[in-house]
Amino acid sequence: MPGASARFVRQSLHLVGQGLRGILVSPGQTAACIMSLAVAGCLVVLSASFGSLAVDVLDRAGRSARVLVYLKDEVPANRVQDLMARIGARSDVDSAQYMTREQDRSRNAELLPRDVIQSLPAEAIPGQHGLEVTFRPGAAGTQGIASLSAFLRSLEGVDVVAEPPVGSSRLRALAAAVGFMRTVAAILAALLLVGTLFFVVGTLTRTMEHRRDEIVILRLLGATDAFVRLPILIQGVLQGMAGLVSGAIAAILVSGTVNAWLAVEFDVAVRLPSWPESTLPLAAAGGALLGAAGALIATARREA
Amino acid sequence: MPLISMHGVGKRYQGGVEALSNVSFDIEEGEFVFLSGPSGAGKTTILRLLMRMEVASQGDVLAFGRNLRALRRSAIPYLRRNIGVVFQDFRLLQERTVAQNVAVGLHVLGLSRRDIRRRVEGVLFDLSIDRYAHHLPSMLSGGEQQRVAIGRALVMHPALILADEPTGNLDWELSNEIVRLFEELNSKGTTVIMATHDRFLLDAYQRRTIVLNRGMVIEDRAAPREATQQSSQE
Repeated sequence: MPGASARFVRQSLHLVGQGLRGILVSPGQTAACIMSLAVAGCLVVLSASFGSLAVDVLDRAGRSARVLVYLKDEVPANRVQDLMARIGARSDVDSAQYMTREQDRSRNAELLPRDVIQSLPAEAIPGQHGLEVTFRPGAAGTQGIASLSAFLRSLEGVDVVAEPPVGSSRLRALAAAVGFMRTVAAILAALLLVGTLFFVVGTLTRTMEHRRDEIVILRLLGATDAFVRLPILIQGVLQGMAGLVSGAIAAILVSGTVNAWLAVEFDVAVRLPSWPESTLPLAAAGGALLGAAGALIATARREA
Repeated sequence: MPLISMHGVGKRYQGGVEALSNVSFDIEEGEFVFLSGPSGAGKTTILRLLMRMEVASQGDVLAFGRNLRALRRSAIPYLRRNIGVVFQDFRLLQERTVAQNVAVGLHVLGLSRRDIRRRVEGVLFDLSIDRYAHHLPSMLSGGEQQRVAIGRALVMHPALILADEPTGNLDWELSNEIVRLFEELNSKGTTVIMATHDRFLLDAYQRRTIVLNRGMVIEDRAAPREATQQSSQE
């Protein structure tokens, strides 16, 4: 039925036009609404992104950790070889190297102030032979360290399993703190989005107030519920999409700047996560949902 | 079958106010009927029932062969597309031009721009307000604004026009103009129901008059012309 299709297209275009016109009813409030959505969207994306960065840093710290295994003095050389073989056979271990008493002593000496070292006889600085165990790249994290440490402690001849430079318990504590912060950030982001939802509802309600006379007339002239409410829905969706997409773009620009700064200031391969291609479509979809929810609340609160 | 039929209709608003009580009448297609009575007699309530802006508390209201009490919400817009409404206070959109005000309902029907323009120009010409097409309502006199409001109703090609005190804000001369306009529409086949408490108009235009008082029909006076026809048939 070409006539019906043409009528449907004309009505759809008219409703989109009405939705766009609604944006112009109170441009200041609409701009503030879009701005608040953009800020909320930007903060949500950045908090997620910095959370990922923190987890990534902790993971890298865990991967680069080396576990020192101090052996009892009486462990003979052939037993050391046996221990190295058993440890090296583990899938998460990259290497297990023998460390002499002198190597351990010189390492300990580096930790002491120079004047203290000069005032002490060499044998006063402690030194113990042992093994330096390095993780296989990508095989460990905070959980991996705990698992390997437990295995090493169970071996016969092992005296002490030393915490790695960044201790596993500290890593676990940091990971827990980051997890907590991420949860808090997620809750705050959700609250922020709920706050902006009310902003959307307020803007749409104002449009409906402005159009009240027109809506009454349209009702009397035979406009359906859809004809009256769709422009409000379209306005809400457009506002929501504009806000969250702008926020996502701002977040991408900010993270680009942060990455450039990280590259200059730190000689580390740590960057904010690269943005998947779906970020902008996801932001648009989220904005559309938020706007639609705002429109539903606005039309439910006030008879449209 | 009458175009409109009310049988034993009562309407009680929240708070117990009884606006209508046991109202019954039929209106045939093509009739011109005055609803008369003092303020608060129930004239506007009858029009609101016919527009399905209210639902009768008792009795049956039939329009276009449909029982309005049983009408589903989704069917109401399609009922209203057959009815043109004119109010005392015009209810024009002040920030839109005369042509835009007249066209406002045509978008509901999904007409093309060309059809909308054609219909609007035709109605504005018929009502002699075509020269004001691009004026804002605030630039027009009361009578001209009421013509715009009538144009907004007529452009939808309604089978029935409900006018609620359309001359209430107009002087005698303009009131006459408006009623003559309704007569002209009626002569082309449109059924007109006009609520008014203006006795001079009722006397000047000898039409069927349903007189209400305190929510009840106290008189249903046929037009003299119709009365004469009836008596000659007898």
